[in-house]
Amino acid sequence: MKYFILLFLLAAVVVACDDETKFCDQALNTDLHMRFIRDSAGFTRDTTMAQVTLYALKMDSIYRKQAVSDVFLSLSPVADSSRFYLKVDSISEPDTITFRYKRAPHFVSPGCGFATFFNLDTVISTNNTIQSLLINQRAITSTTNDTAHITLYFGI
Amino acid sequence: MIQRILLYILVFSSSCIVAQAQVKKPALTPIDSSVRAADTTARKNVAEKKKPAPALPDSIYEVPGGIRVGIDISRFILKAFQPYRTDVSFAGDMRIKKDLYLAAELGFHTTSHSDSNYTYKGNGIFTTVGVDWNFMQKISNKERYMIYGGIRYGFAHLNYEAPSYTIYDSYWGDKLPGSFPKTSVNAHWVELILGLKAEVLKNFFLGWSIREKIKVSGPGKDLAFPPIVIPGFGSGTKGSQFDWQYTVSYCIPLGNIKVHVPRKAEPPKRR
Repeated sequence: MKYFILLFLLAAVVVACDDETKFCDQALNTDLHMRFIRDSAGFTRDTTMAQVTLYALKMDSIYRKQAVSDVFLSLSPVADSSRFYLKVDSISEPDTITFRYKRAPHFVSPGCGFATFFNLDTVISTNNTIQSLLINQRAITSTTNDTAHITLYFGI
Repeated sequence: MIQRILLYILVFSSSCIVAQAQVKKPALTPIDSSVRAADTTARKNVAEKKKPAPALPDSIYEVPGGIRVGIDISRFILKAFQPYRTDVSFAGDMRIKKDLYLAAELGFHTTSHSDSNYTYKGNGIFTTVGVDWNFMQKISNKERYMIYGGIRYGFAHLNYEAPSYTIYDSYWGDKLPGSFPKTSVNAHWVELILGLKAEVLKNFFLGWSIREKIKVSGPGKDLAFPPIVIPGFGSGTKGSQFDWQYTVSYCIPLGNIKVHVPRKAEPPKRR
């Protein structure tokens, strides 16, 4: 019984003395998540695009001819809008998507520090291949978000 | 002649031995039982030494009272684990009933942290007020050991700021510097406590307790910039916090407290 109490006290001390500034256990990137949906004659389904190329204008590629069904992209933390180039396969016309948003610094945790949280105002795209788009969630606060912020509909 | 000398020596030595034996063991001299029975003075002494029969317990008795003040030394141990924190906490309690104590704590706190992502500064004060209930069954009314449970209401006022921070973005290659201005907030919480106190020297006590603190209102994760530490509570980003305390305290004796025990009616005797 005596040792049980001592162990319990020791565990209490360890729990209470946890140094929160030591480790960062969360992702600091707050990426926008886009999902691809193929719309054929009113019947929609998730689809994998064969050769997706995606990059912010005048920046490096995020995806280069990769087969993916959804993409994650990083919005600029120093501007209130970002424009991206998107080409989903080799034969289709590329599109550009423009994101306008508000950004705010957010304290993620004592171990991680600050990250930028975004709130989408408007999303505009060309309609070369993209048929339409839907904003599911305006707040971009976490990379590990299963719900896509935006759904892109393709007619091809 | 020689024979006579030897006889004298023998008689003298034997008489000496007998005399010595009588001197060494005077208590072993047998006493006649009739004499012992007739020794009324001895009996009288025994009767005088007997204390009077104890009176029936009164319905009011007294237990030691006083104000106990101390310092929480666990906060200095905490500094070794969380070097960014500096806490000083004083604890006190006062007996108001036999097993009920009015308890309070008062303290101040500073936080200073700096790494490659941000710098942080904070300070504040806190107080808690509540009661402790002693569960320990005592052998004597004068005992002051305690095994207790308690509840507290806690309040803290703090100021904090981030003089500088940097947000790094791997894709855009940007470093976004910034700062958060000084913010003042209040926090309220409730503490549930389990602990013990032992009187190690006269009026000197050592005690430890474990406590669960549940935030009722105050800064939290919903804020863009919550504090790292709330004084007296702990983590600024958590809704509840487990904590411990180790106090060294001194009891200033201030008289006794009367305890009234209602006398129970005696059951009727059977014939």
